[in-house]
Amino acid sequence: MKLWQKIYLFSMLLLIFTLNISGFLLVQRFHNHLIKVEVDKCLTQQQRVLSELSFNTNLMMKYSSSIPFSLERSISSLMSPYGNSLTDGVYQILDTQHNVIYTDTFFPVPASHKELENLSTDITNYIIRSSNHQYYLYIAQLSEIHHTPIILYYAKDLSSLYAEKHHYYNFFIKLDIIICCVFAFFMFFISRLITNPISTLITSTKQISLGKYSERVILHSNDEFKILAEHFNSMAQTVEDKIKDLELSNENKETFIHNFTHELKTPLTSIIGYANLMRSAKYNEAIFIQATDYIYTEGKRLEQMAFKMMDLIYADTQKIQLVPKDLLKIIIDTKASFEPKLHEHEIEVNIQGPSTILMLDEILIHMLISNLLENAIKASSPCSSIEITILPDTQTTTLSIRDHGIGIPAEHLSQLCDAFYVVDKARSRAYNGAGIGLSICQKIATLHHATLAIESQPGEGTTLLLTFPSMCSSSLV
Amino acid sequence: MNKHILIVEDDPAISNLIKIHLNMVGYETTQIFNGLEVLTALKNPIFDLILLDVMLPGLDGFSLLNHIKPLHIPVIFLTAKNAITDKVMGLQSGAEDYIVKPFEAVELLARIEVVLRRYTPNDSILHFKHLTIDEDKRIVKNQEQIIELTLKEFDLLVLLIKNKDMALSREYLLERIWGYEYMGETRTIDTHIQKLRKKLDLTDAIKTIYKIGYRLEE
Repeated sequence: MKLWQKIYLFSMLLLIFTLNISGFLLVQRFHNHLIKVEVDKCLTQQQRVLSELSFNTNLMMKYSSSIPFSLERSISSLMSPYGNSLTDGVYQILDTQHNVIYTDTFFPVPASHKELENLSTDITNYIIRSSNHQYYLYIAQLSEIHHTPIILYYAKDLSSLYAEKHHYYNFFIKLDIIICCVFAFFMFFISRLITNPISTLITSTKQISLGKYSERVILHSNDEFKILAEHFNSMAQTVEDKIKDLELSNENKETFIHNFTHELKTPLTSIIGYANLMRSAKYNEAIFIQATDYIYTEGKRLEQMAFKMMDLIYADTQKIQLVPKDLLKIIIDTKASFEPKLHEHEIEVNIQGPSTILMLDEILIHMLISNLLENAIKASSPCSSIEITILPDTQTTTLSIRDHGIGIPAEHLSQLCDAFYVVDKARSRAYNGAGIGLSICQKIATLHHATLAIESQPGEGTTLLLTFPSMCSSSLV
Repeated sequence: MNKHILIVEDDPAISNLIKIHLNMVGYETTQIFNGLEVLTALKNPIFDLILLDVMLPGLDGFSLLNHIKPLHIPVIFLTAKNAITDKVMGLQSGAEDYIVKPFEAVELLARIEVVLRRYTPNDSILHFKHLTIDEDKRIVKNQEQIIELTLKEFDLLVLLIKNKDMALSREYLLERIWGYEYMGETRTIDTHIQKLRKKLDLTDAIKTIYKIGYRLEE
């Protein structure tokens, strides 16, 4: 069941329940009160009649002592002014054996006489009886008139009171129906109005769950739903941003894997192809040597690529700890590990600049400078030089690595740091390059809050500029 | 008389590998490593078929194909990308076939053979030593004497001759001649080889290669 239906139904039920109970109680209470007032009135009247009767009898006794006293006759004559109609009340006077001494014409004789039992002078019994939709009040009282105990038996028709009660009930039921109808009519719209923001929320959430992450909830209310909608919108915004991030990173990963697979397939095609040639073709020395040579070099390429990939993953996943280190010392150490290669290509590396303490991760910086130096060596022709310069400043420290090699055409500069991007495939292959080096450098630079910039002129050389943030207490030795 | 195939592939290792295999089965080859050089080579089109790498320096394979089309030379794409869009694009642009790296040499040869036969259907006579084989008529002659071969024996012989000097595995032979669904054992190949050796006097020419299969040698 929908929420608005629940609100509607339950409020309706509650209204019907409370309205009817209170209405019934009210009418009943009012009726009871009327009855009580009537009964009290009758009891008073009874007392009055009784005392009048007693007084008059005594009076009669005094003035008519000559006439032999007859109780029946005197009562008949004394009672005749009372009890003219049933609605005002009629009387019977009974003796203790319940024999009628006197009776009014219309006295409705009841079927039983319970109220006549157990009477004493100080107890007045009364009862309300119904017969044929007529309600009668009976009052019985024991008294003594002229030393004779008699029972004054009083009856009154109360049907009008009961009829009134019915009339009230009828009126109340009509009122009840009208109120319920009016309530039902307005409550229908109110419950819809209250729950309307929920349907809006539901529509929006449905859209979002279907993948439309840009969907937002628009509510024109000023209650908790508004707050809920605002929270919901900010949540949706977060989700959308997150999803976009994930999609982007997923796309990057896919491109990376795509490129990686491509780079993997080429050497593998050679290795598998030549190995298969050797095992299936008739032995031919020239082909055999060529094949083994290719298998070796392509295998080496794969190995080189695996190392670089490990570096990349290392730079990617390493929880780095930046500690104050001397950049110059790391550069000198790195250069030392390149000595054999530099000697082989007859390239000179000149390091200039002061000793500079920066927040660094030594292993990663070593990796970074190795890659940059390696690139510089690959680009350089034999007998040339590479300059490494440290330029400390108050805000930033710039490390520049400059070679005088072949340079990079301007159109390639923007893509250089993409993984597997190579400018000259053939040249890159000759050095076992896979285009990962700069990608690693870029990652390491980012980890150190540094920026990597490349300036190049084809034919004149390339300069790589690494800009580190200086330490507050940058020391110049 | 031999077919001339142009190999356009920028990776020298793979280019040489293809060249060795093609030469082995008797094709003549020319190697080009750069897309732009292909345009120069096409000015004098002496090629019966072009193997074309998609990713080329200079000019990529798809662009080159537009220059090749007017010459009616069949093209087989070599591609390291096995993305379906590349295949569709390759075939839509008018290539005869494509083959995804890394590929088996026998597979490449089989595809070249199919494409070449489609373009020059008349050439169906094969020669091997003293044997002359007419593929269309399905006749094998030892000198001038016709030799009766069963269907499978004939197919096996043709396959061996077309891949001569190359070892063919039993699994490959089984797949090519009996089809994928054949559930028999590789011993079936052995018995057929024995019969071929006997009927055609090829005992020395069909070599058994340990652990691999058989190789036909001249």
